[in-house]
Amino acid sequence: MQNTLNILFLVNGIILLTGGIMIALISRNIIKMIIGFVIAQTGVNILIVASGYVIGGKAPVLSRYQQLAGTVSCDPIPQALVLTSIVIGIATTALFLFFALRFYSDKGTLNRDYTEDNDD
Amino acid sequence: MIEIIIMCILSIVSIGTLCFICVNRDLITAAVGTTLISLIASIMFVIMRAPDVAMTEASIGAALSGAIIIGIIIKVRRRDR
Amino acid sequence: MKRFVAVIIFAFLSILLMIFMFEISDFSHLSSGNASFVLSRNLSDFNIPNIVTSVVTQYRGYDTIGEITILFLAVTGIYMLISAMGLKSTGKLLEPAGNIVKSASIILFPIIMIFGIYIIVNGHLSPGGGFQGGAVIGSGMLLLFLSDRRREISSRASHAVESMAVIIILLIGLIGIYTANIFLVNFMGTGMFSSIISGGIIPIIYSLIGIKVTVEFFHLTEHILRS
Repeated sequence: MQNTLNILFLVNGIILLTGGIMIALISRNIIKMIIGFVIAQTGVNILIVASGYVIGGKAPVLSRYQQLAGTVSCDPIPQALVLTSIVIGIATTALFLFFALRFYSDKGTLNRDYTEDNDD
Repeated sequence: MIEIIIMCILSIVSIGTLCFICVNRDLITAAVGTTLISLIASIMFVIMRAPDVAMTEASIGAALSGAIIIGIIIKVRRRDR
Repeated sequence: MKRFVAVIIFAFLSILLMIFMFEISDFSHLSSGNASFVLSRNLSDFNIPNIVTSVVTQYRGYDTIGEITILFLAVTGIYMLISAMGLKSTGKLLEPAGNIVKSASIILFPIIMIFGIYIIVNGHLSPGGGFQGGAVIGSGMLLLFLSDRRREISSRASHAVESMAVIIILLIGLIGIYTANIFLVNFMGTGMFSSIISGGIIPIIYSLIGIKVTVEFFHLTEHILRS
């Protein structure tokens, strides 16, 4: 009963991660591949923050001057790392999308199976 | 107890959206689904006792990332896998 | 047939990952020594309420400087890609905005900006900080740009503001080397607990990061919508 919440966090993170990678590998359109990667990054962020959860962690990461001696609080270091990871995720997504736009403006199609043999 | 019920509902909605993105062929529907998954992740971060991460994910992951994806999809073809 | 095989493989991989995660995770107590070190020494070192801010700017300060560099590289790369595409741009032009967006954005933008400045300035007292507040103000400027496409923000002024913010952050770090042989050390005294002027150089660094992130998110979205 105590562990049910943690099981739900982990199950959700893992399904988002593997589902996102599967969308990225199956799809033939480049922009759908990018959307798969965005979902996979969100799943990884959920997994990292959920690994720092303590059962009955009453106080979130704000401390008060008198209460710090008695309460148990959750882990602050994975949260700081995920803050950086979210910002880096949007930077790489923006560059990736711009390369897809360049691809479309050069070749006229968004299919990733494009080769110069069947171009006519 | 109430947290477990809310967490079950959010899990079912996010996994259902993932299956819907995988099957559908429209691109703008997939972009809206990505924004929905980011918003649900932001609510989950509050239940995990991480308010800083929840604010960051809501403002950057949901708003700005969704705007950038839709802004590019408008300039290319909209349908067809 | 290929899709069915791929679904089977990924179901198998996800079940394997789940078994592995349940074996190694133990959620009844804090399992790392780093967390107990940070939680016990935060009040005596910095005296600020928000522990995540002190971890991001002081205990893991190099990661934040690397992240600023990555954001800057992404925006530079997008700018170079646009200027190399030249006249062969694909785009259908966007339609001009309707009356609702035009009249609502004039009222909404000052409120968004005050809200964003409040989040940035109170970064060390409550959840918030430079990245969150910068994204809020950046979205507000995007709204302003969407409502009237002829509005321009002079690009030389915004590039100058962004570069000055980064240079001042690095100079503050170098002052730390000069006084105590450590980069980005907190060389000012810490004030009272939970007042705005407290925590040494932490509010100054986070505010400068907030200014830089605002300008960069605005450039990112403006280049996409304008090409």
